[in-house]
Amino acid sequence: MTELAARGLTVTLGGNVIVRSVDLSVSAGDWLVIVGPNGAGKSTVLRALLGLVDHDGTVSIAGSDASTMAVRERAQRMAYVPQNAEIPPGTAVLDYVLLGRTPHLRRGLYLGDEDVGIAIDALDRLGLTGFAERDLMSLSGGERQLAVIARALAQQTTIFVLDEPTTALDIGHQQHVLATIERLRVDLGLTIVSSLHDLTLAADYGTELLMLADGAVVANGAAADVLTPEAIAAHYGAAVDLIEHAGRTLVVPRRPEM
Amino acid sequence: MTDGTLTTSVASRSQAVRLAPTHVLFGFVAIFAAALVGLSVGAASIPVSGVLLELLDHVPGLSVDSGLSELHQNIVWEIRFPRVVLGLLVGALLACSGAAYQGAFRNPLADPFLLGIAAGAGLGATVGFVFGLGDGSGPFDAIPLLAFAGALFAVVLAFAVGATGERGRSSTTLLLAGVAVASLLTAAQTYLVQRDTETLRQVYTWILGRLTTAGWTEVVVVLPYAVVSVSVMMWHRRALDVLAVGDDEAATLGISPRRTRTIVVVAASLAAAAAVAVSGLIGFVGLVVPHGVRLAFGTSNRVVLPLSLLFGAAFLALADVAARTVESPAELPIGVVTAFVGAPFFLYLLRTSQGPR
Repeated sequence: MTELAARGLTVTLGGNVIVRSVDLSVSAGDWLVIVGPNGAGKSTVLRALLGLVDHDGTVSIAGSDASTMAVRERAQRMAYVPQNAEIPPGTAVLDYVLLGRTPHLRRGLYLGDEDVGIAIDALDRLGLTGFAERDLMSLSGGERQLAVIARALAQQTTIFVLDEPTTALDIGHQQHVLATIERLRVDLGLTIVSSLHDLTLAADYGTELLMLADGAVVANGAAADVLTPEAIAAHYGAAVDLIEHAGRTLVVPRRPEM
Repeated sequence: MTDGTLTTSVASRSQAVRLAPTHVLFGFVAIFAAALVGLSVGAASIPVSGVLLELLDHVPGLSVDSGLSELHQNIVWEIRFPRVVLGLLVGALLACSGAAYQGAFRNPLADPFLLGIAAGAGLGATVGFVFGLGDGSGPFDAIPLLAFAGALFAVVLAFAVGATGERGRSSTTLLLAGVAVASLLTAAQTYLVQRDTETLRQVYTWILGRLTTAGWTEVVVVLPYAVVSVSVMMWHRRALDVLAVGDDEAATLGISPRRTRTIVVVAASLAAAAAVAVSGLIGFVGLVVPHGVRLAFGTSNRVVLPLSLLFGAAFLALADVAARTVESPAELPIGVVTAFVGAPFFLYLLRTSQGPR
């Protein structure tokens, strides 16, 4: 069943067409990874799905037109993990995760014991239990990213939208964060849309890939169909080898001839 | 949910930010102490114990002999009491609106005075006097309404100018815009007054504030605006915490950033304008008090807004005591006292807060 879909998504900013007529659809429980070179419009597509930029075309969530939904209703269905989350100063991790309860609060104001329970559960799932009272600022980059994911989890949505969730992280934290998202997807049946820079990781984690170039979809489907040396050469301007290793596809840049 | 997790969640409830009852109590104690000092100190010095007993005597069902002479009783009730109450109200409004502006603009240096709001209110009131639209008596006279319109105009102008440009959130840009807006509006006001010197006295009496001659009339003027604006600001205190993560993230958390900001800024401007309408230009209260509260009790707006209200009230009542005792029997304008405290504090903040936020 299609959980999230966009049809004819077009975004124009300051007279420039950033996203042109993008169609996409993600089935419930799948992970769609959007790849593409810098400036291809990956973040803008995600922002349009979230309703953060004006756009033409339609976005539908579980078959309903998202444009008819109030901000609050949309927030009950779709959570966002931004590339660089803003860290409000002097905020304890638990309070930060509790922000995820906002769309569910009575009159937007009162936190109940149940909300705190849900936030603590989210911290537990991400291995942050001991961090509840720590100041968010004092956490490492990887731990902070997990806290942002915990906030999304506390939002109790079926859809997660993640913009380059591993950009600023070292290889160990990248692995940990992606494995965590994958575990949440499988355990909770989440539907995930994310952008990813690393094509090998995109092939590893995406159940489906979508390649954008210059704001338009140039390939969509299984990793093997999207990540071809030809497509990568054409759109990234990169010469790569695709190496099959232990059931995975590794995308390895060639060393240019000197 | 198993019993185990339920226990955890209840136990951990205390970890989440909440307004601590002891802090609220502390705020009320501060207000009470400031009021007591305000009632005792002045040209005629009346013992605190006497004032305390006098207050107790007026608690329904209690009858105590305060030992105060009739003259002193009159001074306490007729002269000082309304002034103290008005000082508490104005301080609460200025501090709370400062905290609300800081939250809404995500700018720690936002203050009703520095954003040009006071100047805007002054211009609005001047327009009213010059064109004979009202005389400033009663809450629904044209003067406070025009002051409010002027205040709102100033803040919109300052924010529109100060928030344009790349990323647009630099604290200093907004402040510079506020300074420019204040100068412009003050110039416009001076121009209007010069053209119509008849109203000169009226306007300047209004601007310099009337805490000195305050009576219950002023309290009645300010009260309806105070109730409405404070209720709205309090209602949005959690939404302001959500805004702290930025507009995009706030929107994905179910808060409409533009709507929330508009509502809070309108309410804060209403509060600031109401305060200016009865007390004249008093600066820095909206800066000093919320920052003190943040240092002492935490940064969440759920804590900062209500506690700023309480401690702002106490702060201004004490500042008023200083204003009328330092040069006794002459009185200093209360804005001079708050500026002596606030301006150095502001410079300190300016040096310690680097760039945006």
